[in-house]
Amino acid sequence: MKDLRRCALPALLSAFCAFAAEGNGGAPGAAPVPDDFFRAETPWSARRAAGLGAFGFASASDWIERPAGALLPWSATLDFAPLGPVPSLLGERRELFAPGPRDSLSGVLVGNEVGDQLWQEVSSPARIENRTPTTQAFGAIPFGNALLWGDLRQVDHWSAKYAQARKARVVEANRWGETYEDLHSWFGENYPDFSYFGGGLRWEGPQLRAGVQGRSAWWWPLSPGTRREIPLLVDALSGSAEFAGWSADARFFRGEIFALDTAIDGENFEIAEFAVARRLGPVRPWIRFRNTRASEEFPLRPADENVLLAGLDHEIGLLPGFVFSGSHWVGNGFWGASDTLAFAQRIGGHRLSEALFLRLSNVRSPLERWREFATGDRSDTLADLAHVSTWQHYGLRLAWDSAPLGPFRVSLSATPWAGVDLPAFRSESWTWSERRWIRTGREATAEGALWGMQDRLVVDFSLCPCRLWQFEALREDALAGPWGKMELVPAEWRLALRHSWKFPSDLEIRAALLWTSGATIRQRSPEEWREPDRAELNAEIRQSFFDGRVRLWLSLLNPLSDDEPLVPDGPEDRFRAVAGVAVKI
Amino acid sequence: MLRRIPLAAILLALLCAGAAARPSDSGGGQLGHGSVGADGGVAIPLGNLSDDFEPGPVATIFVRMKYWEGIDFVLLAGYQRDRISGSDLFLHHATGSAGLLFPLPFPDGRNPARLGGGIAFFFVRASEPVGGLLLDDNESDFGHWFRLETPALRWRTMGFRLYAQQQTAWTLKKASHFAAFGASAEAALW
Repeated sequence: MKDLRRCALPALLSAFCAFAAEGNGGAPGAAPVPDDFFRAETPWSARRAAGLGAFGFASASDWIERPAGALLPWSATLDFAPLGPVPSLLGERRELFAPGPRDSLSGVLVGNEVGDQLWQEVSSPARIENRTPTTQAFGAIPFGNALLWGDLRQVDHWSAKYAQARKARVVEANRWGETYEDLHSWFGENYPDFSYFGGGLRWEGPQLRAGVQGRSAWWWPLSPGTRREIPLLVDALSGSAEFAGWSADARFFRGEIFALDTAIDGENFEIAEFAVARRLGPVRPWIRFRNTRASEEFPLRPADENVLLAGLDHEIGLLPGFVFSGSHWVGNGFWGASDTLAFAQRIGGHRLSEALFLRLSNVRSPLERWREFATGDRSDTLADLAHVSTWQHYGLRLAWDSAPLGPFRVSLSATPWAGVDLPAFRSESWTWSERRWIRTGREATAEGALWGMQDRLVVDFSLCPCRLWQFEALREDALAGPWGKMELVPAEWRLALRHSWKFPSDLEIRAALLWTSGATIRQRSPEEWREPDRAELNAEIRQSFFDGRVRLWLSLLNPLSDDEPLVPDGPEDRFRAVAGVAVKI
Repeated sequence: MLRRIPLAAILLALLCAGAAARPSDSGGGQLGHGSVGADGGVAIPLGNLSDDFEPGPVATIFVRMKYWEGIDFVLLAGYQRDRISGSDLFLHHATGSAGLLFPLPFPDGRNPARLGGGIAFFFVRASEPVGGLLLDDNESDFGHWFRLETPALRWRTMGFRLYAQQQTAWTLKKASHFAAFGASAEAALW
């Protein structure tokens, strides 16, 4: 039950996911990356602090990310995800609707974008943009095999830039803060990116694992097409169960617009989804059904109101050392396949591996095909993400993970790959509105073969289990093909030096110094955006007492920040600190 | 980025302070002793704050626990009012802090003076809305602190000390500094 989401997702175990996970986690030794504590701030921060996977952000729930093991030049939110855990419109990977806590801790945390004025507002009154906080409280009460949990989280970070525009949309003049709609959050008045509360109950027995949960979130998601902000209140209910090889999950989302714009105020949509899967030895057949219903004036409409997908995941051992794994699926108008043939061999403690992979589909994601309209009459399409065209992705990964070489361990991999006729958003017009770039356009095929290469080196150095140094270098080459049409051209170099140090007094220090050359980001502004080359320092201090039953921690996210935007319409990237305390009941 | 390097250096110094907690094999007894206490004194704004704020009283409650080999772990919660010079207005100024206090080699090993520091979280708002100020509602930020304490004067389970403390909030456009001097009293709890 440690990862409820995984057990609740019959089809998430696609071959490529496994492949990517290997790419991320295949390094020798345990990477001293921050984990649970960083999640407390935003999920983006956790990945950012971990190192090399993330690109720039535009807000607490909108960031451009590409995991370090990913190859295709797509943001993770657009990657091959026929059955992503949550619809991207509703924050897939954004953890607004993520499963409950992984551990049974209760506690609170506070954080801030460091650099508020406080007394300086009196002493040196030149105004600077406000710094905004993050707050979270969480509780978990275990009894027997069950865990009852609840959480409340509000991330105001990055909200100052958009607060005035947001206020104008939801607050009538001279009616500051009179109703919850005015505030558009569960507490506070910064017009935060999101603010939610929720809870659930889960059961983890020897036979049955199950859970139910509900959350309600005030949220300013960006529409996937034009990237307009939509002020939503989203209620989500979900449940899952796993029993005797069977697993099932069901989810229901309802989002309603709260805005003074009377044309869309009260407009809503609902998504209901059901899936069931069965594990049968090396294969796992599954089906998933989703119904999406949008009200008449809701600015987005799914291309397919009903989607039924049936698939088969497999992981089959062939000859000794060979594993054939992957996923195939077909639906009403869509199909996809992802297969990996991997071979691994151990020679004197060294591990040599090769993986040949192939992915084919006719859509980028069958469940995320949205059309966006200017008005309710559906004649004026602003953005169309319902493109159907066959694309292909091939690659070969060669890796060597060394045996211990004195205090060193080394991991080296090279992955040449090619993508053919990949889908990419093609913008048609741009408007600057409410401090953001609003685009129109459609997804289209970038014809031709795109060639790329990814090389990775990881060196661990450790003289005792309490202390680990790790150096990681990732090089990515955009070799040939229609790179100019891709939404992302990855950073050429990304380097990380990480250190973890655990003292016998249960004090633990983790730090990561990162350097990245700039990635190129397109389709976020009329001109392509070159991310600045930059260094980053992230550190975390933890202290446990009473065998871990009481924990204090302080996370310092990039004190070296230059306070510059990382995406064209993004707010400043600032030094942020988060402190927390948690106890185990 | 360069202007942040002093700040990064302070952070690294705090991290390295943790390294001093490296014990010998005979260490241990973590949280074996604990006491609660309160201190009171005068808080003095420093730097560019000294022109705009008047010195004022400060009160703190704290919990002190044995951390490792003579090193104490402290949690502090403080409150002071920062009166704006020439005005009836003041700022509510609350601080939550955590850190370590290290024994100094004098005057003796059994009851040493202590020097330490840690991280602070500041919470500030104006006593009444002025209009147009961010301080009209709650503002908060992180910072760090250093503290020097005299050896304790003991009476039964009580201890009395004098202290000097310096606090810095990581504000912009400049960092904000305060000094405080006062006396503390504490009682052993366990």
